[in-house]
Amino acid sequence: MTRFSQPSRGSRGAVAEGRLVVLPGGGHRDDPVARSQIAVGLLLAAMTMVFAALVSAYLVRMDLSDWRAAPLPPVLWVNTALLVAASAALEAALRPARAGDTRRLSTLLWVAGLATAAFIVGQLAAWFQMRAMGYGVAATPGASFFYLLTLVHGVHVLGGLVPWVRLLARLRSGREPEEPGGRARARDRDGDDGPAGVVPALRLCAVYWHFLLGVWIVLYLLMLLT
Amino acid sequence: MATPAAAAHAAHEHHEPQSFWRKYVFSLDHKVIGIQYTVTALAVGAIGLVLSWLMRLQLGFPGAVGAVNPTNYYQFMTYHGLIMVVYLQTAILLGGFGNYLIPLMIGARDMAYPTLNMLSYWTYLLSVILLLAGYFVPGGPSGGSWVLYPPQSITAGTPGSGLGITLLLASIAVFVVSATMGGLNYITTVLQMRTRGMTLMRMPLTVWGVFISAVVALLSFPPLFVAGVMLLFDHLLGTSFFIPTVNVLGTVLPHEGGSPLLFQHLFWFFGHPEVYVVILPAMGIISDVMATHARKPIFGYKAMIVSMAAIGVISFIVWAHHMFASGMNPFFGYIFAATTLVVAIPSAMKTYNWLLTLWKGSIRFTTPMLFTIGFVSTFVIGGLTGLFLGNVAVDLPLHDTYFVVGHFHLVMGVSAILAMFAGIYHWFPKVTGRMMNETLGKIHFFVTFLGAYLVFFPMFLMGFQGIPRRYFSFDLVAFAPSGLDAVNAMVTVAALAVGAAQLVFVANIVWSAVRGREADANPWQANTLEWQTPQIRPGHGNWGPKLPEVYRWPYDYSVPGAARDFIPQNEPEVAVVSPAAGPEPEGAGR
Amino acid sequence: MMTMTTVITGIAFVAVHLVLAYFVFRYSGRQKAEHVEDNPRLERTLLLITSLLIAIMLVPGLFAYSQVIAKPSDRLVVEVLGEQWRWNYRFPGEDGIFGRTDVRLITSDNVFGIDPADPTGADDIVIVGGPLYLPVNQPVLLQFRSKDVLHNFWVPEFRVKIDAVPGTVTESWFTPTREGTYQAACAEYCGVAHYVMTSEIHVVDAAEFEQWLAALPTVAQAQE
Ligand code: HEM
Ligand SMILES: [Cu+2]
Ligand SMILES: [Cu+2]
Repeated sequence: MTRFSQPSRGSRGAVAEGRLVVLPGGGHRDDPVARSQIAVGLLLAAMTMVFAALVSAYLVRMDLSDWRAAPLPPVLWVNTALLVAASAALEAALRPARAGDTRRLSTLLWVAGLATAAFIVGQLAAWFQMRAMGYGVAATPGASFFYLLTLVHGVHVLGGLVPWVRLLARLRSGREPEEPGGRARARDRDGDDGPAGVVPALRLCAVYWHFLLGVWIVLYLLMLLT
Repeated sequence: MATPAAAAHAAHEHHEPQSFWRKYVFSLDHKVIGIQYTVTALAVGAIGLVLSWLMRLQLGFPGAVGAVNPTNYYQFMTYHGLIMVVYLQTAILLGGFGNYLIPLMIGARDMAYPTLNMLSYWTYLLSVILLLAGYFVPGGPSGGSWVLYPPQSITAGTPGSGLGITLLLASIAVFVVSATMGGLNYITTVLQMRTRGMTLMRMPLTVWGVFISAVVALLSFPPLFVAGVMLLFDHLLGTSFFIPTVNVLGTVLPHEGGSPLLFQHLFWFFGHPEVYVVILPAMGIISDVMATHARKPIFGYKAMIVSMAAIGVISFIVWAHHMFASGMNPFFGYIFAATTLVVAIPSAMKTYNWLLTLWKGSIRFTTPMLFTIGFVSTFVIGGLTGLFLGNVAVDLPLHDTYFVVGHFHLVMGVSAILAMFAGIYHWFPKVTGRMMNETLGKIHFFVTFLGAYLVFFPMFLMGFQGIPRRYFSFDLVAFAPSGLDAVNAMVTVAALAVGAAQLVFVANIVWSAVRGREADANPWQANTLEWQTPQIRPGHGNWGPKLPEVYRWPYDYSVPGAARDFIPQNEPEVAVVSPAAGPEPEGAGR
Repeated sequence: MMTMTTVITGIAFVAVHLVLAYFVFRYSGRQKAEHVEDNPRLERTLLLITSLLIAIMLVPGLFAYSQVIAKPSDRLVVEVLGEQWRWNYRFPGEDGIFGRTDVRLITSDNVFGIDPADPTGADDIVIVGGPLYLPVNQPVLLQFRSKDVLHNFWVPEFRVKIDAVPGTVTESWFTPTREGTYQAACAEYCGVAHYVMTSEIHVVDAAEFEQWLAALPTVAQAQE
């Protein structure tokens, strides 16, 4: 009986002593950090498509004969500043997180969260200002887009508060809350405890905020300049 | 890493710590979720099927079923189209097969995000409920056709243009959320959770198909979501994104200046990729089932992946071929005709590779194999007729005629459904531990396959005659040829026969699940990992204490010199016996 | 174009099915499959042949399309208004100019919404619901409008098709070459009575057409 020595198609195998020995590598690289990076990356890709669709709709609609822009409520400047602050606070929180400074970390997290909440309130205020200026949802195409864009963007910002709350909770309990169903999964939790453990999640949270800040600036400029 | 895994395994082995609810209803197990998706999708699909009978009865025997009138005909048509494309096919191929198979085929214990996975199913169920709720509101469900073009879909001349369309749009938006959660999960799982040795180029084509399809879905559904939200704005808040000044049935509506074409662009930016979202997993399933039942490696594995990826990419730049007659800038006709015909090339390559896989194989006429062969046939005719519709000058006379109805039913309706059946017959033993009845399966196949040709082939001829689609009756159509009534009657009879064959399928499922012959561990002698689990019906966590390791691609069928005609992916080495048959090699640790 | 596409795809359909049937019967019930190496050369050849066939269909197709969208110069202009659920027609009258319209002005007596303030509209000729007469061998340019939803003016023999889109004007043109009676049907779903939205079209010789047109009242006459 001889050994089958022809390496199979697609195998990274090598033949040693007439036996097929498979070299390690390939597959199995489950790493919770990389995994969430991929998931967030995909989420942002899908969101990019949402906003790209909205922006192209805006540009197409803008070229039609009856286009009338709407004045923008001044409070939007404040709101923009709030969102910048939230984004910056999350970015700044990375340092104390790495350094293990829980107090500073949670302060910055709270700053980010409150600034974000204030942003949402500010956007609502902007809606009321628009209404007060006589621009309801259906007043002009520009006004319609104002409500539509701020609504879709605002909902995504609100969605960001979910991971934010989870981050806070994790910081409280000192470690990541056990995911139901996570038990069947192989996962290395070493070093997950303490503020340093939240760095990857915080990083992703910050990326999400930067992304929404970027989107907001694009939308705002679009509405300002047209 | 072995600790929690072993614990999970042990938990399964001993007594169930989980309550009934946790285990079967709010389960986090990808297999249970996959089955929930499948069963829900098949149940809605059954509604879609019944609706098609009602339409066919009216078309074949006008007036025979007095209860069918124009209003509910168009409601049936709308719900039939949307149910079949979105709530059945997309849901079952991604949510059903994707969920059940991905982790098993790549050697993972579950999806990357089980909770998100469960949420995805429940969101899907919510979208189904919202959809069906349309039938219980004043004014009834929307009759705006599955493309929902405004202004028609939200104005008074269309049935269900009040609450009905609101619910429908809400349902679609919720479905997009569900599909996004699912898609994130499938992609992340494939990229991250593959077991040791499972390189990308060793993944079964089913996983590749679902993977590429999930990417396409993730990027193409958002524009649909946006279109739906904007249409809701127009409908509920009186904005004018899509609606210009119109006078509908004597009333001037308070809209001004909107662009109906804008909706069409957004819709088809989703709509065209959507057909590939459906067909890509189907192509994957077909490839795997075919290789297994022809005992041959899939021909041109790499070419198969490259063409699926190419189809996925090109699918984003062909959308306006649905709009050649829409009044858009005629210059776009050149561009989109060219891109559309280019997408035929990778599709043709796949067809050649399927044929070459059969070539010199050892074909086993099992029910899944029959469905696979049927798929190749209907996919070819659907694809070839696509060349008419993609080529703008040829399309113009055929646009919105029955030619189109024949085309899309064969290429995505029938083909994807045949692939779905191939998959169900193939993996049923995995799910239930029992084989499906072959005789009933073959009856199901032949009636469905031949019936589908009888139903949809005549539609090409009707299309050449210019018979328009979405017609409740052809009484007033002066250019309808005299034989049209007879053809329509024949088509209806065939459609009812196809429908009856689905009852055979349901009976087969029920009977086999309870009484079917018990399946061997690997009844089709397949190589892919899902057949190599410790128990035929894998428990929670799928694998025993140790994850499988992968040593080869999934298509080592009939390898010269090997003792058996298949070598499972997790078999490290194979003994070669002299051609004059020797003793079986020791089974590689199963 | 249509014929060539039918022939090429027809041959491909038959060829693939013959091969499929042959393989299915030839290779069933055998003990063992033969080993077949992947064959990149074969794949490349098939790729090339397929691309060629596609090009053979596409290139003439695009040329044919350029003819379809090239406007005729000497043309009779007719406006077609789609509404739920009938087709209405308008000729510009003596002055050759259509009067200005506005959807808001549409009433049951003024189905086109012609602006009474515009003097060019007075001699327009309006036909509600048809029939429409067209002179044979005379290029016709149809300008489509819709007052409510999308419609599509479809006469199979004329082989052109374009949506009537509310808010914009779309155009198509053709030259009727055979006298006779034709029918336009709606080929864009437009609501619950989409299937009854038909209209008769008569292609007649020039003299008969002139006679028919002259007998129709202008907008101004109709108002008296
Ligand atoms: C035996 C099975 C089926 C029969 C008899 C059938 C029959 C029909 C009929 C009669 C129509 C209406 C045609 C018209 O009035 O213009 C229709 C439309 C449609 N069907 Fe099917 N169908 C079947 C299966 C499917 C499947 C599996 C799909 C999945 C893709 C599907 C997708 C559609 C779509 C998208 C429409 C268009 C709806 C619209 O015009 O808005 N059908 N079908
Ligand atoms: Cu398409
Ligand atoms: Cu119509």
